[in-house]
Amino acid sequence: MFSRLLEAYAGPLRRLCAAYMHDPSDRQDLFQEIALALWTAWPRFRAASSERTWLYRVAHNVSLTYASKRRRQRRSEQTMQEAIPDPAGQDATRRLALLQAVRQLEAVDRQLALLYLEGLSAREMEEVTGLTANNIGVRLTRLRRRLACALEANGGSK
Amino acid sequence: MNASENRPDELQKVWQEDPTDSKGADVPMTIQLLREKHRSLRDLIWGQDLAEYVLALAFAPLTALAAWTAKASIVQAGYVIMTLMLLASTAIIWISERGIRRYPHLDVSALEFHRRLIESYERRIRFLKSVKFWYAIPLFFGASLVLLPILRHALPGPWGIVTLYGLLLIAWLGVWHMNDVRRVGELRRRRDDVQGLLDRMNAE
Repeated sequence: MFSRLLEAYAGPLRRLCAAYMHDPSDRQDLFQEIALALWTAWPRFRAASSERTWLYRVAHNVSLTYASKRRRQRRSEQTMQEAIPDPAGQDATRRLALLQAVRQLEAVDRQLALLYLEGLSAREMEEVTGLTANNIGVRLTRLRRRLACALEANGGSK
Repeated sequence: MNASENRPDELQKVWQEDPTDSKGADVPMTIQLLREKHRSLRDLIWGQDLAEYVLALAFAPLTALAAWTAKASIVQAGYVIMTLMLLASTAIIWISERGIRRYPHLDVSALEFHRRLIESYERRIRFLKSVKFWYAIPLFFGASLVLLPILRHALPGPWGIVTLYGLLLIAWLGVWHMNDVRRVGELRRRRDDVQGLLDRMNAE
């Protein structure tokens, strides 16, 4: 049951890790931290919320905590950029541009952007973040515009 | 529908079309890693707990034995106080640490999680700030009763008392610095980080 859940959400979780962590080994560590937290919390899952919102709650809480822990540990590496290979093709360029735009967002906005990009509904976002619908609406409008601009600057719409 | 209205869907499409997405191909390996990590984490916590209690309790039999064999009643009283304090502090640490160590559940909303995280930092700060009163003062009082006759005998005039209280003051300041300055300072920085995040969450 648990492995099915992890298998189903491995892709979104890896994307989430990439948005929070530049360094590949940090990404792998974060993925394992999230998986461990899900594993530990799994017996408490009571289907009061959907499996998806439950998973994203745990994943985002772990990511925020992990990111701030890593920031404290390596303040000197804050400006370190990942060595990204030249992306092949327009799709890869656009995806990379989007990833970099998400990474540049402040923690709360990044969380919302990730939930939006993974296709969660406004109601689900409320459940994951605890923010009010109004707060989410205001932020999302601004975020969509910002991300769209980043995408447009790197190849525009197809 | 114009281009800008299509944009959100396009953003989602670009984001989710990840060519490196392994679709969970390495999940069996991750599960194996999880089992190992979970086991080692449990062992680590158990080991830390055990070391803490063994360290706290290691001196209690020695002070109890010293109380039993001491000839002067004031020294005996000092050892008794020290023994009781070591036992009581172990119990207090056990009770309070169990509550403090309980990390907030991760399966609540981000807003709630960070509120609980701040509460747990506050509890820990209060606990650490109280150590110098309920632990250090009674323990050092007991130690002073034990050491006073020895130092009075060893040093002439008032120097015995001066040396004793000088040493106790240094030790008390050491406890204060370790808890109130270093550990509480670090916890406050963490709490302020989380509070900043919480404030940004609430701001529209």
